[in-house]
Amino acid sequence: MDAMSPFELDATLHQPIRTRIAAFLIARGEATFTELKKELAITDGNLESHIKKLRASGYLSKEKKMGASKRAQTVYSLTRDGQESFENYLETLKRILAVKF
Amino acid sequence: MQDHAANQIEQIHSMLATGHRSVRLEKHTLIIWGLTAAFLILSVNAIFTPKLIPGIWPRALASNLFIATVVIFAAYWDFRLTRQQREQNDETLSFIQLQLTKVWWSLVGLIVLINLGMNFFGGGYLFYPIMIALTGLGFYIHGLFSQQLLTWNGTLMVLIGLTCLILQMPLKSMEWLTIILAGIGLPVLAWLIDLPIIQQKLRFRMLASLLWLSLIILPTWLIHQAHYRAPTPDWPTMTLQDYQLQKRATPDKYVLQIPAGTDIPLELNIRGETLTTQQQITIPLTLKRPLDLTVKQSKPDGRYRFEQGKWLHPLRKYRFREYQLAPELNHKDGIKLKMGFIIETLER
Repeated sequence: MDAMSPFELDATLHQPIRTRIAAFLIARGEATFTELKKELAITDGNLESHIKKLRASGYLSKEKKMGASKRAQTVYSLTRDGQESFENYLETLKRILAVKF
Repeated sequence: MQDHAANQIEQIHSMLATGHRSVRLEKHTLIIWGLTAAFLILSVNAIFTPKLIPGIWPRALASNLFIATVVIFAAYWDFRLTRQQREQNDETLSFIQLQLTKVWWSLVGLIVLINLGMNFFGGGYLFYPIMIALTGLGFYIHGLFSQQLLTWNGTLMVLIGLTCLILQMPLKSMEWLTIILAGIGLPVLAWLIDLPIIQQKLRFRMLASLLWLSLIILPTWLIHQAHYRAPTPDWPTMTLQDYQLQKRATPDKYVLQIPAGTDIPLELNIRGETLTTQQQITIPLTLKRPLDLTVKQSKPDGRYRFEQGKWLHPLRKYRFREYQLAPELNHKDGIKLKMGFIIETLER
């Protein structure tokens, strides 16, 4: 957060890759690790660390789903808390842009 | 700080758009459905002939049952392949994709129902344009959440369907157009949609759409020309009067000239569950404009022209419009039926 700023930005979401993960999941609903990696074009380790941070904040849920071929798939989606935080974060960004410095 | 916020909002918009457009139409989906549609159009009329099943209703039911079975099999096969492919690539079928699949199945079901209904209630001429336009609508909707090329080609398909009607294309040509669109157009589209250059550059998307359109229109036009070609016969002419008076020997092949005002009797035979003709009825009709017919071995071979115009193919038949049938009751005649319709000659 900017010490001089009157706007409080969510520290977890105010990071370009995590912002993109949240925005993608808001639009798509859910995605696998592979899909997220493909869309964000980042390494496995990088994505894993951002997923960990989002999960630690309670913004991201992880679910194992059984497919038609009985192969389990791990699917990520935003929690309700994550969705609300993303909306608040977006509102804050819009307010920042509306202010004339 | 504002710059950073603007940058973040831009990133969010970009990812929202990517997320919304993340539905991918698989290659095998287009190939399976394209080939299934082409196979059904080519096979149904060839299999379910009046010789095989004489009654109209049992024939319509049998053919539609066959269509429904093939369509259900194709839908199951496509869904299974799609799920398998997604799992192999560790990808999911998103919520939007599942909803779009339902839209597709509804559209396919609607096309089958329209076909069934037209067997019973008529209007078969409209079937192919409706089928093309509904498929185009499906692609347009799918493209809104997927590859942009699908939206473009969906729009083109809707326009193709409407153009068929505006140009009053003959049924057989529309049938070939649909076969080519399904059997060639959709597999080619399957190849085009995943080409990276087409997804990135607008001008390549436009070019791809135009090439795709010409790939469908050109073969259809060639088949139409071959099918409806009625070359001008270089045969001697003979008037109907000369023919009737047998003034000269009748050649093997000739053009029979029938002047306007000639009486042409129409022999009518009506059959039905409630009403029937006891004996053959002859209605006197009068030719309103000069007509030339080609005659081969004493029989009209089907080519004709009006007022020395372009020779027309026998398959360009007639259309009955504004058909009316109403009972009338009065003291003098008792009950009678009045019937009327317009016969439209298809000259294009």
